[in-house]
Amino acid sequence: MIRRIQIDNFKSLDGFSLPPVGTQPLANFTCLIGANGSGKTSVLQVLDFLCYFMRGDIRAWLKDRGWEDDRLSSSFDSSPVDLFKASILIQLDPSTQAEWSVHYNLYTSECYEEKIVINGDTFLEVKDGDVTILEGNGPPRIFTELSLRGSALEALQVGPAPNPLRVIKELFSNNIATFELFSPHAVKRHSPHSKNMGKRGENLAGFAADLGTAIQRRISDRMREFYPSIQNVQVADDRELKSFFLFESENFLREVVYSPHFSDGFTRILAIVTQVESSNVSNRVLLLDEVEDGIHPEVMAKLIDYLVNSNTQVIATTHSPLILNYLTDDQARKSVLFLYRNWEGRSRSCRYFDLPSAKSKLGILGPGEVYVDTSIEQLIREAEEMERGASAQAGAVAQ
Amino acid sequence: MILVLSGEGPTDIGTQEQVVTGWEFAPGPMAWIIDKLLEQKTNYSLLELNANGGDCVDFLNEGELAALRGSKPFFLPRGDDTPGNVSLRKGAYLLGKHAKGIVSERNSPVIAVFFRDADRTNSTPRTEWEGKFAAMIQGFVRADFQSGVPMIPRPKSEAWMLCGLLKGTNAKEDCDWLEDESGNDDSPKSLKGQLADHLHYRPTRDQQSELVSGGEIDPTLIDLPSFIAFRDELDRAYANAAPPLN
Repeated sequence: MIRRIQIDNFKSLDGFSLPPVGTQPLANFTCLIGANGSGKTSVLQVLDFLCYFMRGDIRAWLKDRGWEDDRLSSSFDSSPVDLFKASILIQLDPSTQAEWSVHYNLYTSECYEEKIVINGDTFLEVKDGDVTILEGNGPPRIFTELSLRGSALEALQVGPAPNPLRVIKELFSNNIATFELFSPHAVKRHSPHSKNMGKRGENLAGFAADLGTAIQRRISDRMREFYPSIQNVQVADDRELKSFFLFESENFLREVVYSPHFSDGFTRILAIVTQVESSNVSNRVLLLDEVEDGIHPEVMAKLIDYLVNSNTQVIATTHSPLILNYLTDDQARKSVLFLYRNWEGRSRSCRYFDLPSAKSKLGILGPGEVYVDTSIEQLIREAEEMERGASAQAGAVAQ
Repeated sequence: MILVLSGEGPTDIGTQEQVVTGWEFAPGPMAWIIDKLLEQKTNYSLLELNANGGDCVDFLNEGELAALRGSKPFFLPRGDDTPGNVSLRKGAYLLGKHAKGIVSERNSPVIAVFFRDADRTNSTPRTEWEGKFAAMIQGFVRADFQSGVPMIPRPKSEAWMLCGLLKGTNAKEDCDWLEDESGNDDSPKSLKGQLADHLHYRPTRDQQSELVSGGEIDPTLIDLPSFIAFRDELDRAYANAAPPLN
C-alpha cells in the first residue's frame, strides 16, 4: 500500500507531498478533492508514470497520452537539468515500510539515482549508472556503467517474492490499475485474451476470460449486488476467440444484454469490480479519476461501501458531494484530502477536515454537505495559513 | 411551555454546567433575552422555573445537535445560498425535528430557538444576513415544525447588547450603525471591545446575563433590524406553539 507520495518537477507537483510530511499517512481509501486544475489528476498520472518508470518504458506512457517530454516538467523548476524526483513510502506488511526514491532526467530519459530503503536499511542504490543491490545476508551485487531508462529493478534480476524488492517491483509493474484514461467504449468492444486491462479499459473481457470460474462467479455476484435486476454476468468468446461480457435481465423476457449495449455506468462498475475481485495480492492499488462519472447515486453509495471495505487501496478524485457523504465522519477525516494551488501556483495537499471552516461544520453536516457549504477561496486561505505555519515550524526546527 | 435552545457558546445562549446533582443549564444573555420577551406573554420566567426544577428548558450544544444527524436527508445549497447557509438550514432542521419530538413526547407546547452569529470575521451585507435568516426558517419548515425561531444578530450578539445599553440611557438613540460594524473580535473597533468600553469592564458570561436578567438591558427597547426580525419570529412561534392535547 502506498502511504506517502513526494514529488518534484511533475506538472504542478513540485515540492509536493500527499499527505503533507509529518501528518498521518494515506489510508486505504483516499478521496482527492479540490478545484479544477488543483493537481488531483496529476497525482494519479504521476503514480501511473512511476509504473511505466518501473517497467523502463516512459516513452510508451507519453505515447499513450500523445505528449512530448517537455509537457511533464513543471514550470517552477529553474535548474538546468530537467530532473523529476519522487519519493514513495510503501507499506509492505504491518511491520515493513519501504521508501523508494527516484531521480529521473526528463530531457535525456535517464535514471540518475534510485534508492530503496527498507526499515532503515538500504536494499538498492543507483548513482550515475552504478547499481548496488543488497538482498538478505549475501554480498552486495554491484553493476557499473549501466544506462538506465527506468528502474534498475526492471533491468536486473531480483529474487522472488516475498523479497521486498520483488514486491515493490510487482506493485508498480502489475498491481496498480489506473482508470484515469478509462473509456467505457473501449470495454464494450470484443477483445483478445489478455493478462490485464488496458489503460482505456480495452481487453477487460479478455482479461476476465482467463480469471477462472471462481473469480468470474464472484464478479457476477458483486455485480448483482450493485444491480439486483440482473443475473449471471458472464464472459464468452466469439468465433474469432475474442471475449465479450453478457448478462441476463430479470424481467419476464429474460433478455440477454451483450457488452456493446451496456450502459457507461454499468461498464465502469464492471471494470472496477473485475480489478478488485481479480486481485489475490494484498498490495493492490486502484486509481480512479472522477469516480462518480456516469454512475447513479444509489449505485455510487454501494460502490463507495464496497471500495472502503475491500482489501484494495483506492485513490480516487471526485467533485461529487454525494460521494463524500457516503463516508462516515471518521472515515472522511482520515480519507479526504484537499488539493489546491498555493500562492506560488504549486499544488499542495492537506486533510480537508483539518481546515477550520470544514472542521467546525462536520457533525451537524455530513462530509459532502460541508463540501458544498464551504467557500473554496476561504479553504485555500486557511490551507495556505496552515502551510506557512508548518514551514515556519520546520524552519525553526532546522535552526 | 418548553423552550428548546441551541447556540454557539456560553456567552450567547449558554452552556451546560456540572453541579452536584448532574448537569444544569447555565443561561447566557441571549437565553435571558428570549425569556424576558416570552415572560411578557406567559407572565412567568421559563428560565427561573427551570432553575427551580421545572424541567422546561432543553439545551443542545453543537455536539448534541450533531448527534441527531442521520444519513438522510442530504442538504444541498440552493441557487442564491452563500457559504454557511446549508449548515444553518440543516441545524434548524435537526433542532426542529427534535423539538417536534418533544411536543408529542411531553404533550406540551414547544418553542425552539436556534442562535448563530451572522459573521464572526467581517461585517455582513444585509442581503447575506437575510439569506441566513431565511435558511433557518426553511430548515424549520422542512422539519414541519411551526414554532422554530432564527436568532441571528447582525453581525453578532454584542451589537444587540450594546443597543440595549444605549437605549437604556437614551431611548431615542439611533443604534442602526451597530449592524454594520465588524464581527471580528481582533479588529481595533471590535464590538466586544466597544461593549467593554461602554461598561468599563470586560463582562463575563454571568455579567452579561445579569445585564439582561437584572433589567439593565430591556429587550423590548432593542430595535435593530436583525433583532426585530427575531422578535417577530418569536411572536409568530408563540402563536403557533401547539396547545396541549388535553
